[in-house]
Amino acid sequence: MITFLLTSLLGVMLIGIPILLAIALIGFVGMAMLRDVVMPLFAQKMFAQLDSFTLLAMPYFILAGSIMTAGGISRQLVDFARALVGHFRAGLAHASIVGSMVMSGVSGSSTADASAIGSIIIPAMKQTGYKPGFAAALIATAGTMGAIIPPSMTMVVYGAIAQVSIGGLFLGGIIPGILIGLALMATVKLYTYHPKYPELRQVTARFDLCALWHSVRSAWSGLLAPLIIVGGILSGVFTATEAGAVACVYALIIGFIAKKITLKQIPNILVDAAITTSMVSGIIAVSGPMGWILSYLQFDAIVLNSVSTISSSPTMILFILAAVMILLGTFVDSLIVLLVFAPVAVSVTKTYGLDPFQVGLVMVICNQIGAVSPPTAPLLFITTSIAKCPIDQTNRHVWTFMLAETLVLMLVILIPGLSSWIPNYFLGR
Amino acid sequence: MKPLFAAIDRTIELIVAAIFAGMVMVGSWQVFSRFVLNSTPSWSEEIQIFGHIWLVFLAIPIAYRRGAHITVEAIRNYLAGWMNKALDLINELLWIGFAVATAYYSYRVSLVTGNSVSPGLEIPMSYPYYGMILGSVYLLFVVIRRLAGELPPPDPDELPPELAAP
Repeated sequence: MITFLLTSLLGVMLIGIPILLAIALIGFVGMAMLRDVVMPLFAQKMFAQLDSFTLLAMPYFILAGSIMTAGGISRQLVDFARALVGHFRAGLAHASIVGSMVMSGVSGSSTADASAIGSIIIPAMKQTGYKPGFAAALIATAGTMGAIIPPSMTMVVYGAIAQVSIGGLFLGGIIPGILIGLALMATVKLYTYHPKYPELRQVTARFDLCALWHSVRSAWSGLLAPLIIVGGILSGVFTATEAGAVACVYALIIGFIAKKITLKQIPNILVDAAITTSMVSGIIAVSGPMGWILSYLQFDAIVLNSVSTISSSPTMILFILAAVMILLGTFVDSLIVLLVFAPVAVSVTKTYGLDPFQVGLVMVICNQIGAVSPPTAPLLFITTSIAKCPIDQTNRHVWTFMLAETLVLMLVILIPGLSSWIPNYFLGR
Repeated sequence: MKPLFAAIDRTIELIVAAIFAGMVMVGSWQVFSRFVLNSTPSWSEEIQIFGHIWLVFLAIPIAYRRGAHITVEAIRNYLAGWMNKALDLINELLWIGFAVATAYYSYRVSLVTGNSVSPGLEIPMSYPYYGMILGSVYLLFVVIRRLAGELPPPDPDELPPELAAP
């Protein structure tokens, strides 16, 4: 029955039924097939899935991101990044990575990151002679840091389902997120030696301390936001959810003071953020009935058993889990893969005594690699449409950047401390 | 009828905006009151959770109206015109099924849970389910309007900026 449900989920999604409907349908059919289930459970499980205070961090960080974007934060952060690293060879490429990194500290979503940074810097990169496919692939991969550097919506979703501290996951994402940024910069550096990329050897700007200072002064509110969020969670002043609410108020006050936002814009910003919330929270809600069916049929135990016949080493198990998630993530929407596999990850954590933050980070990074792996890669679609080039040009370039991110994933699997040291040290589990 | 429908649409949007604004205010009040007044209100977490449920189910139809729900389009591009039309019709029928099932079963649950009281706010536990019912009824209303051709096809310009690109 599990095979039937999961293959039909895949089939229904592939013929273009919205993901929310596809999951709801599978949960509904599954419940109807079990004779001893009373059907109102369908509504009750949707309610139960959303009945979580930790999940609220997601709408709050979506809203904070929308307010900051409406206030023009992304341009200021890109200007800051250009002033900081724009004088390197392939300066714009490096600036786009640093810009995405800083933007990741403000927004919790990789799609928001990729579209905000991409719409500003991709046109500039094309003007300088960069290949559009290269630019689109780079910005999409850099955008994945949005879900790995705190705050992160993906971590909120995983933490709420797997019952792992979201503050801890946020803190665990700091080192892996920065490593991904450095790995991407190293990849760009390697590209500068490639004979077919002469445009990457140009130096287009000179370092100017004055300009850097100027950019810091205009971007300070955006640079300060991650410090408030991470600092607040580190010191235990507030939880991840409260940090989200505080970030919204902070963004509003800054927007009003800088006269970037008017009172009239507020309702529309709220509605836009609510739509984004409903798309993600809606999928989470309908995954309640489906998740209930899967656990009723002991899906996690079945996967765990079949995996443990291959190997018994915890590291090996994590590698296998990661490989399966990335493989599925290339064909299926990666949010669904995360929702289906979160319970499996919980059993793996418990059975093998792994650190919950390490497992969480592995899950989130796999989810993000899935989001840039063709053919179904939402991040690539966004940046490619900004770069206005055929999608196969982007696909041709994305492999190198994905490889860099996969190397970081391997490090996170092999060295638990990268993802677990900060949260365990500061939150003192 | 058109002005009336437009007024209903706008009212729902404003309700959603008001709920969201209220949630943020309660959330920041919770932090403020813990640090400045040294007391954590017992009702604040619960009211945000219930607000979120209302928000999600009321915004699902708005997202539907604007064509925002995530869909895998890859195979659609290779299908013939009539097959796409048929699939679109199946989609709308599934939306109707989802709306009816959610509304009806939420109503059934609300009958039972109405007898118990929530621990924080001390309101009947049926209140969050009313959001699911209202949202689903509005969804049904919107889908039927689209089937009847009253609702224009989704306009990408109406999407939130981070979703508008593809």
